[in-house]
Amino acid sequence: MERGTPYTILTMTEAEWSVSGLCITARPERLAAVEKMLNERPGLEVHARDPKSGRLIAVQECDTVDEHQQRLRELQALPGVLTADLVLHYQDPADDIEPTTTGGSE
Amino acid sequence: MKPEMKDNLSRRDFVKTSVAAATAAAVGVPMAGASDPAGLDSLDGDITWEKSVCRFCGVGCGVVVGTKDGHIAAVKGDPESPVNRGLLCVKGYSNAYILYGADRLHKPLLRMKNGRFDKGGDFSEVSWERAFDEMERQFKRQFSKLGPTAVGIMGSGQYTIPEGYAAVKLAKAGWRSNNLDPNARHCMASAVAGFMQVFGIDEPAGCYDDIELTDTIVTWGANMAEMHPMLWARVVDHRLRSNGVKVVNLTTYSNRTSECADHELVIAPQSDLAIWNFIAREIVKNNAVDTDFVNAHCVFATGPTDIGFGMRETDTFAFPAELDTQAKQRVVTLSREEAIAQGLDPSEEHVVEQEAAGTANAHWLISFDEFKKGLEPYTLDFTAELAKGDPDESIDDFKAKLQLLADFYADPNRKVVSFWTMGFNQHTRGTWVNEQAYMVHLLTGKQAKPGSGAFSLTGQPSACGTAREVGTFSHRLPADMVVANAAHRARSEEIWKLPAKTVNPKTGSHITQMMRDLESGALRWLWVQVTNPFQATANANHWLRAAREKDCFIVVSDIYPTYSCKVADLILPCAGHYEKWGLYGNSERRTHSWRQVVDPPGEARSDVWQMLEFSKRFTLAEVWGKQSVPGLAAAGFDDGKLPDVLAAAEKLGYRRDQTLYEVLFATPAAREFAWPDPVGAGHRCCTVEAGGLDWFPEKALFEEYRLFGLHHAHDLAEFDTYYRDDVRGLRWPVVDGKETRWRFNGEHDPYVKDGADFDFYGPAMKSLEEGTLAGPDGGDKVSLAGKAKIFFRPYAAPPESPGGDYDMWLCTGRVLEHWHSGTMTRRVPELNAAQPRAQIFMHPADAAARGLERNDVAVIESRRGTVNAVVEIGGRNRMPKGMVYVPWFDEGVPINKVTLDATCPISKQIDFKKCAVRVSKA
Repeated sequence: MERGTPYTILTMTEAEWSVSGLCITARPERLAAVEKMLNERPGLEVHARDPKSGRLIAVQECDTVDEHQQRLRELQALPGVLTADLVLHYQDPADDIEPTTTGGSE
Repeated sequence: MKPEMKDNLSRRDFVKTSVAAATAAAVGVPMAGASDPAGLDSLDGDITWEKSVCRFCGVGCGVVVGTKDGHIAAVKGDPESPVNRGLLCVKGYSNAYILYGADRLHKPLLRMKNGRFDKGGDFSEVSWERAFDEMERQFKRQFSKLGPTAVGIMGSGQYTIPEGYAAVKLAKAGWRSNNLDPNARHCMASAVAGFMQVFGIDEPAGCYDDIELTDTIVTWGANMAEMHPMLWARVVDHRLRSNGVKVVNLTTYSNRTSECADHELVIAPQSDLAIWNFIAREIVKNNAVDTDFVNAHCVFATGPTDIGFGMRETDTFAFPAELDTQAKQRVVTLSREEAIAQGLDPSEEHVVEQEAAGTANAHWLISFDEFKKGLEPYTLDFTAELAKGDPDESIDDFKAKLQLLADFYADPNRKVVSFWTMGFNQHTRGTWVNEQAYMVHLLTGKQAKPGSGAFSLTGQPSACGTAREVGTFSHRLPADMVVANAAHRARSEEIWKLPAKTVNPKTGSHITQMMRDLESGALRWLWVQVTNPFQATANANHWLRAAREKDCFIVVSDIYPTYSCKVADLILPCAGHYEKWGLYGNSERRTHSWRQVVDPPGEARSDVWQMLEFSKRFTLAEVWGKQSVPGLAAAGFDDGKLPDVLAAAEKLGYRRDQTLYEVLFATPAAREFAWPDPVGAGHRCCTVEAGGLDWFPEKALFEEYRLFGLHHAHDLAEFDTYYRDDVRGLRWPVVDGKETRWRFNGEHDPYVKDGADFDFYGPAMKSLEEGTLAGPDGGDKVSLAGKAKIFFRPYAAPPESPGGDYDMWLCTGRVLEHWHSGTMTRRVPELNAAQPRAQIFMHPADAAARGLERNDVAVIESRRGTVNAVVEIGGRNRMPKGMVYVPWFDEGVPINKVTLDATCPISKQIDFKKCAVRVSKA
């Protein structure tokens, strides 16, 4: 292959806790099952649901920015999930505590 | 005000709840117990939010940009935007990061050796003054010998409206050169030609509201799930909520759009031409024509078929391996399918000289009987055999789907929206296939109605708003006017206050032609703005070499060092998206705006400032004298010449020693738009500051440009209107403060004459001769005022298909995570991590047959060039046997070295979707 990118790719080597707000859609008749499945995923919490439109509002917390992207892609591939979209991403400037040690145990 | 928090865990819970509330509010989901509906205000009280527009695709999402301490801190979807209603895709979210890559350009860079410019030298930092000195010297060196045809600008569908308008004025009014063409030529030209041929006026009749009003959505060669994600979200939403709504995906390979479709048809490349004719034939056969609509509002038409493929007429510059493909520009031996498709005897050989290559857009009227005759060969059997794209699918299954598709279009009770983008436009018969979409919608009366219409989706954020509407093309002027039309030139000269005959009547070089001109020596000076053409243009080995080896001077204005910068002689650092004032226009004719919210870094300056500043280097005497324009032949002009207009200029009150800056830009009218301006209160303008100005160029340019479209069905509102807090863009024509959702429709369009239900009032090409499928009769022309044309177009094969040494189809395109050539998105960590390199998508059996496994490096080779890429046999695109797909965002995999620069002969748009390659193990 030709020589790779000639420029510097920014990499987030330091852990920075942040939260993304997600809007997930599923077929209305499967909504409850999808919500249950999502709540079992590490760092993901469903906060609101709209059965009429088949939408769930969830927040995903991650220790690095890269992880958010990975989690979102995994979400989009889950059975029963029709779409999963990032609505907003928030990095809290006041947050300077150590990152959580593992996903899924909180 | 930040609440006191006892410990960090409670704070984290608080953040999560606030984010959830803000998310719910953004998308309109009620959330019980949300005490702070705005969600985030308590967390980020010192962020300043400003409405804005996404930098990326033609959807044109509303984005709210948050700044803090002079830096963009956050971005969210604008809940007030009717386009995306608070949602964003991953690229939209990255708007916060695209300006902050580590290698932003801060200073002009000029190739130097021993303190002088040298094309063989290395890039050195220079001052702006030094940069313009060299630009001027090189320009005048070539211009004085060769005139306006030797200089050019490659512009962009990502130009802001003021930028595009400044470029049009500088090139066409200043230098009298029509060598101004945007990357939108690679993107939307076939769509534009389709609109002009069928309707006599550009841009869609309908709007995004059609999505929620329709019963059927058909995507034709458009992977909407990845390429127009927020529109796709609306499609999926509507599909889920409404009973009976159907989604059909026609595609050459299985993709993410297929996942949410009810029916997927994997079709052979170029067979779209046959499928539309099959559908039309079914409609006619089953008496599903809306005869009232057709009789009242439509005529039938056709044109020549021997039009070549937009390749060069000469093979002087061809690589030896290319000669066989290039020969088809002059002569084509029809395949059996083509013979049948064109109503000829398939048992005979048909060797067809391509004699109409220079008059490809000619057309004439035909009768309905002739139209039916043309459709006759497109039976279900013939079409299915030609069009089935997956060798592993049964012909019966495919036929059933074709029939279902035709039935959807024919059902009088079913509203249908057809969407397409590059699959139709980047096509050697792209104008034809655009026309065919309208053919079916017009036959059934499913056009210009809420929930029913053929909708050409735009790729870039302002191919509509800037490139097309402002006219940054080699043949255009603002508001759909063209340089070849004397009345259009006169109108432009009047608005621009120019002497008569300033504007050059000869169409200039389109973007691919400018590349060819670099190679032939016809083009000697080129300014590239807001685009990366040396990565984007097919058959790139030719252009890359020409840029470095010929006597030419290439300037690239950009925000990052791009692939095109590597072959430039001078690089100029630009202000990025939110570092300047701007307006864009999206696919649904929505013009929308943003203010500058942060400053450009270092000495980066806006493109508007660059053009204004450079225009100071030219006096009228240097550019408005007699000029040589080879091939110019227009009434009122001597052959091959533009007249001296200096005496006429003096009569208008100009002096020969006045600069283009004074005459075109800092005019008395422009300077009435003072800065400071209330619309800019609390904001800066980098153009004003860099120029030390007391007037507001972006506003002045917009307000003057506006004059072109007013009362000509292209009405825009005033500049300040778009910036109002309660406005999220407006769809033109904007008449009496009201936007227009459905054009040509008497209930919605103020330009439709009183009482009419529909009026296709577009003025261009509405007077035609009559004839038959064989040709025009040579009689008097007939007026088609108010009518739209239903074209008959046959199936025609592409110029290069798999065979011999090159046994596979190569299709190129995009992926969700990266925009265009990746110069911005690859510098965003999450997007780069998601898709770090371009891959070659292949069928597992094709890979295995070549000794390739997933993640191996493959060599992809055509007659024109070679690249390597990593193999993917699964993933988001599942290829049929015999076809591979490579996205073009990765400059480390410059796939356009491999592709073919054949174009639609009418639109001059390159077909990036079809050429022949061989794939082997590296």
